[in-house]
Parts: sequence; C-alpha cells; structure tokens
Amino acid sequence: MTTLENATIGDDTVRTFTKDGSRPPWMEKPHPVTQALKFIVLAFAVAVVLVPFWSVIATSLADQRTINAAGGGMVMWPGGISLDAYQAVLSGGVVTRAVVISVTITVVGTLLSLAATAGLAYWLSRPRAWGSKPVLMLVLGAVLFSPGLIPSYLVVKEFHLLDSYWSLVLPVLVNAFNVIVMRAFFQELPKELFESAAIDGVGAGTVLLRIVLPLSKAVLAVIGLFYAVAYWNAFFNALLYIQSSEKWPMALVLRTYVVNQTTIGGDQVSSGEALPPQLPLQMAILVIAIVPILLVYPFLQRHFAKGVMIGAVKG
Amino acid sequence: MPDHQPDHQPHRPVSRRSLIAATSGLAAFAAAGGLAGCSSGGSQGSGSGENTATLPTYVPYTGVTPDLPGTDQGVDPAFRRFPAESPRSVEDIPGHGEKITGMANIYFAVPPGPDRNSYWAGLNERLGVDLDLQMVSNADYLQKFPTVIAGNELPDLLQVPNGSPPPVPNMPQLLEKRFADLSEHLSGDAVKEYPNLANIPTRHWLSTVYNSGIYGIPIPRGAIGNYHFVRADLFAKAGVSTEPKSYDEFVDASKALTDAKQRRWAFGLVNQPRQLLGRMNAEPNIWAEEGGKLTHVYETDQYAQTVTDLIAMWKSGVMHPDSFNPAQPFKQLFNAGTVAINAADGYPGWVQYQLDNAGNPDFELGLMPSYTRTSGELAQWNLGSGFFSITLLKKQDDPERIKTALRVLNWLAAPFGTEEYKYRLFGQEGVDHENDADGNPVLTPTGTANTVLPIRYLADSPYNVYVPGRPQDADTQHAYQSLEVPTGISNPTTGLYSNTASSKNATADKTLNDGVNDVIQERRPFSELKTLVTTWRNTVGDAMRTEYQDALQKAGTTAS
Repeated sequence: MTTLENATIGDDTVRTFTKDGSRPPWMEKPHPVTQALKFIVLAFAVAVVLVPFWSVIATSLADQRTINAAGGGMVMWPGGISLDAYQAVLSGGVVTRAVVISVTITVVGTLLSLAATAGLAYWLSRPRAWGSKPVLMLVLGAVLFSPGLIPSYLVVKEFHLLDSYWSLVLPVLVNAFNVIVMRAFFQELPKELFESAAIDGVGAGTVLLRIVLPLSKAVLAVIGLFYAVAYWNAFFNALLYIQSSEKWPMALVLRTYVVNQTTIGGDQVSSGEALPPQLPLQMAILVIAIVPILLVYPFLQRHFAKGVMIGAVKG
Repeated sequence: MPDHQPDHQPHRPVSRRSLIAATSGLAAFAAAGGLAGCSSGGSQGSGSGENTATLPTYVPYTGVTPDLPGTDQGVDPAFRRFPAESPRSVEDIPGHGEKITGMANIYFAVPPGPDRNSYWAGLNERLGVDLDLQMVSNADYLQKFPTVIAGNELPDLLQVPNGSPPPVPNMPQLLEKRFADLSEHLSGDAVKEYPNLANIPTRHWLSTVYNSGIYGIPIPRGAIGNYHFVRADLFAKAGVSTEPKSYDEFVDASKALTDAKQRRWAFGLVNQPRQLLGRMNAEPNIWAEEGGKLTHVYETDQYAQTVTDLIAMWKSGVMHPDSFNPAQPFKQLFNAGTVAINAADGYPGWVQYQLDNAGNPDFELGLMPSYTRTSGELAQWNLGSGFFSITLLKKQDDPERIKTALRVLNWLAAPFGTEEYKYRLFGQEGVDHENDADGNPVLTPTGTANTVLPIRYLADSPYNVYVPGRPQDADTQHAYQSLEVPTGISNPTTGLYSNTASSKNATADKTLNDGVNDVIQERRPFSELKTLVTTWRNTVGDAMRTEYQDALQKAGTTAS
C-alpha cells in the first residue's frame, strides 16, 4: 500500500502525494496542453508581479540618457549601471537616520500595539468579564467613526506629545478593527481549556500568557504584520506632529523625494535652485523603502494564509 | 506717513492703482517711468471700509551691476557670469543668539539638521540666531498649515501656502488676531532700516496688504511668470520656425512636430496649447476690469474661441494621448524629446532643463513668442502675480523680537551677487561649492544635500536671470523678457483677497475644467460649455466677482 504524505491547506489536512513525490495511482497524468496552459497562465501572473519590481530597480540604476531614450518614463534595462541615485540618496545621512528611526518605531510600536490589542481583545472575549459590554461598544464605535484632523492634533498637543516619537505610536496604538479580529480568534479557543485552568486555580493573567497567547501565534503574526506595515508606511502622523525634520521617519522622507517636484510649474522654484534628475532618485528610494518590509514578509507568510481566514467562516 | 523724501523719486504715496497701471504695460504710465505714478485715489482716502496702506519705498540695491539691466515693468536684470566681487550687504549680525522658529514648504529631499549640516551651522552663525525650521513637503503644506493655526503653535516666521490669493479661508481675520501688522516697521521710508527688503520692488508688496496694514514679506517672483519653452532642435529637424506668427502657422508647426508612430507630439499637457491659444485670442488675465466691473476669462467669447481651437487641435492628434492627466510627467517628456513644446512652465525651469540635458549635445532650448491670430503682431502677455507666497510674523509681546526677525529676513533677502546671497544659495566655498574656471559657483554633492533649507520661502531677493556656465542664456532670456513683458497685462485682482476664491474656487474650477476637457475631447457637445460656465458662476464666480469688486473699491483702485 502506498503511504501518503499529509499536506496542510488552511485548517484541513488533505492527502495528496506519495512519499516519493509521485502521483497516487488514482490520479491521471495531466495532458501536455493543460500543462502548457497552466504554465502560461502562471508565468503571466508572475510577470505581472515581477515586471514592475524589475522596472523600479532598473530605473533606479539608469542615467538620464537611458531615461530619455525610453521616452522619459520607466526603463526596462538600465543600459550602463549607475549608482548615482543611491549615492545621492544615501549621502548626508538623512535617509539612513530615517531608516533607523522607522525601524525603531516599527519594532517598538508593533510590540506595544500587540500587547495592548491582545490584552483588550482578551478582556472583551471573556464572557461575563466586568465592564466588557460598554467597552466593546466603544471599540465598535471607533471602527465606525474616526476623529478629525484638527481634534487629533489638539489632543496630541495638549498631551505635550508634539515633536515626540510617542506621537507616532500612542495615537494609533490600538486599531479597533484588529481588536475585533483578535477577539473573534480568542472566542474560538476551546472553552474546556479555560475551565480546566480554572479548576487548577490559575488566574486570568496566567491563562492569557500560558494558554491563550501560545495558541494564538497565527493571529498574533498577522495582526503584528498589519501593525508593522502600518507603522512603517505611516507618514501623515509624522507630518502633523513631528516638527523637527531630524526626527522624520522613512515614509515622510520618502515622500519628499517622490511626491514633490513631479509637477512643479508656475513661479514655484526660486533662482539658482536645481533639482537632480528625478526618476532614478525616486526609484532608488522606493527600493530602499520596500526592502525591509519585504524581508519580514516571508517569515510571516506561513501564518498569514491561516490568519486572514480568522472570522471568515464562524459557526 | 513718513516725512523723509525718498532719494530717487518725488514724495508721493504709491497706491495699487498707479502700480497696476504701471506694471500693466499701458503706454502712458510705462513711459512716465513706472513706479512713481501719480494717484488721486489710493492711500489718501479715508473712511471705515478702506483697505489701503503705504507700501514700502523701493530703494534698489546698487552694489552689483547686472550685465543687462532690468526694467520697472518687470524685465529681470540678467547676469552672464556670477559677479567676481561679492560685496557685503548687511553690516551687522542680525541676532544676538535668540532662537527663531520658522515653518515653510520644501520641494527637495529634506536636508540634514544643524548638528550634522555645516551649511546650516554656518548660517546660524552668520544670522546670530538659532534658526529652528519646520520643513513640510509642498504636497502636504496645505494640510499642515490649518493644524498649526488651529493648535496656535505658531512659529515666529510662517509661510502662507502658495497661491494668489492664498488658499486660506478668512485670512484677514486670521491675520488681525494672530499676526503682526508690520506697517510701522516697513511702510514708506521705514523700510530703509532693512535695505534688502527695500530692494524688493513695490509691485511685489501689493499682496501683503490686509486690513490696511502690511502683514508680511513677499517672496518676489518675476513679472514674466511663465516661459513658452520649446525644443529648438526638434523645431529645426521638423523644418519649422519657433516663432509662428499666426494661428495657421502655429497649427502647421504643431502638425510638423508630431509623429505619433515615432511617439512624438507637439504638446504634452492640454494646458500648454490652452495658454498659447489664450494669448493668441486675447483672453483677459483671469479677470478683466472695466469701470469697476469684473469679467472672468471663462465668461468671455475669447475663451469660447480657445475651446473651439482646442477641439480642432485635439482632433488633429498633436497632443500626447495622456494630455488630460494632471500627473503627466511633462518635464521628463520634454527632456526626452517626446513633446516639443512646454508652454506653461515657470521661468526658473530654464536652469533645470539646461542641467538635465547637459549630457545631450542635440538639446537646444528655445523660447516661443506669442503672436495674435492674424495680424502678425505680438499678442498680449499675461503677467504673473509677482509673488510666490508671503511670510507672516507672529505677534510678539516684545517689539524687539519683531525687529530681530525682520533683520533676519533682511539678511535672507540679500540681493543677487552679494556675499550673503552667495552663502545662502551656494554655502561655503570648498565644502558646499567649488568655483569653476569662469568663477561660477557649482554645488558639490554635500552642498546639494545641505543647502536646500526652505529659507528661500521665508525671504528671497528679486529674481535675476543667471545660468551658471552659459553666459549666452542670459541674453536669450533677457531678450525674450524685453520682448514680451511690455505687452503684458496684469490680473486686476492681484493682491486682493476674496474668501470664496480662497476657500471654494479650487473645487469649482476643477469641476469646470473637467467638463471643458470633456468638451475638448468631444465627449460632450460644445453647447455644454455655456452650462458649465453658468454652473461655475452660480457656485463661485458671482460671489468672487462681488468680493473682488468690493475689495477693488476698498483698495482705491477703481476710484474715479
């Protein structure tokens, strides 16, 4: 008898291939045409994803002449490799400093956010927990309504957080939507676990740390990624609250490169001002900004497929 | 009113009325010698509803002599080379170690802070202050500005968002409450205390007058406003002249420049032929004034004619297929030779285009003059507003602080060629810039990163034509300005404030233009142009007209 390997797709374990990788006897060999069609479709899908990436990298390495030859737009092949754009971006230390700031804010912010979200979600997920109903209403309210720009600014100002790194973390510490998702996950944990813990006389805090969180790695990874990406990409908070450009995170520095200058017209530029060729610079900084978050992604991908299903089908 | 006699002109109050006339190219006033226009209305009137102020006396700086002089009408002085001698224009250090805060927009990648930026540290030393700058990218400035106002976290020096009028609702009330009226420091001869501010010609100051006071320092911009840039090399290749003298020649040239198969077009953005045709058809400069009544360009037959011409032009295929996309990278298309005409770009773009194309031996930049439809004569030129933005000074308990701030701004406004100017633009020799063989300062990579502080949006000197390493460009540009500026007409509402224009016009204008773009592409019938304009008029047009006419009255410009 052929032994079958188990593969995990979502929560289901299905039997697919034999141990030596060959097809089980009841499955037919696919037709070459089907095979080819599959290959074409998949190759196309991969190209749709990879070509823009490649073009960004190629343009970041191109010089003005290559760009002109491409009609003033993105290039597919950089001609001669020129690292000028990267040199321009990395000289002066502004970008490197901003990367350090962004990494710190992302790491610290994500950890704090996860702690706060998990704590709140756990509280709201326990039946009959004291005061959880009104707080749940508040959280749901926060999903629907968000404060305006100026009220948020005034609150941050009155807490004396202007120009402080905390202004980039505290106002966005807990995302109500993420709380709801995590609460749903906690509610699905078997209630027998909690009962046996109670019989053993374990307190609520220990239950959270020793039972709930170890069982919730998937949701923590996903919500953590949500938070990390949000912290990494956030520029608007910094724009409003951070006065000193020394404290700018990467996303805001990136913005001064990418968004500005594209359509300067009228009388806007002063005498003697000269901008370097823009396109390679913009692409170089895009590459620099994408890389860190791309590096994190593969490590979390395993949990990601599982995590996004949370709450999707709830019986 | 001050008692001193200005040295160079008879003692007469300079009013809006004489200024607008003088800069408008009306022959009589222009011949009379520009700024010293005589006025029966203006600041002499009295009454509660007035909005007049005695503008600062213009005392031109004479320490550096341009190769080609400017004119009172607004032709910019031109320099072929950077002046060999850089005289000092400010004797004393402006500050005494105070901290001065400021906020302005920035078009560049943000420079390193003062502790890691030798240029900034050197600037602080020269200014004698600790300059603490909040830099906000220009794309976000409009969003940041209201929060700073609402939070009342005002810096000492604050740049108002760029625009004429500034896109700030209820600006007069805001200024009165939070910002300093500088009249006692700057009106009339008082400005002589700050000679580099006195070097800003009077017409630029119009936009700083609110509540019968001077509420800021203008960031001056050239009267010419836009250049009609063309790729002269592509014109030569296509065998057409860069000076089409009639509508027919213009259309023929645009067709000759287009070869869609080769991905070449005459125009990259609809606004470019729109501006050229508008001049050809004698459209007013946004508003036309007659006897105190204003008519907007959209309401004129000339505008309808321009739209008709644009329909034909779009049909003939001489515009880039993506011409209606406002994010079209028109500068890159122009550099790449994909489009040959770039007619609605700011005049300082000249330097940028030359720098971008230094490695392209074929590239030849030219400027296209504007002719009327059939007569073969020069068309009228729409002059720019003359300012980029204004810099407000926060109200201070200690009047000495205002004076310090003004001294700092005076330093920053040092004229072209002075030692202060050279440092402001090019930093320290050997670190931020090197001098080339002809004595032109050329920024080093360090200088490029370090010197882009947005101090140039807190105070700036009047514009001078100067292209490093290309002396012949000074002559080309000066000749073009001398040709076009005398035909210029001003927007009669320049420097006036309309709350509707500042708060609602952007949206209504976009709705109208989206509709007109559909008409040009024949997605909607031409007859709908009228409906679009009527809608625009009902939403904002009539309200703006009423407010501007009222403002004109109060400013004394329409006094009979």
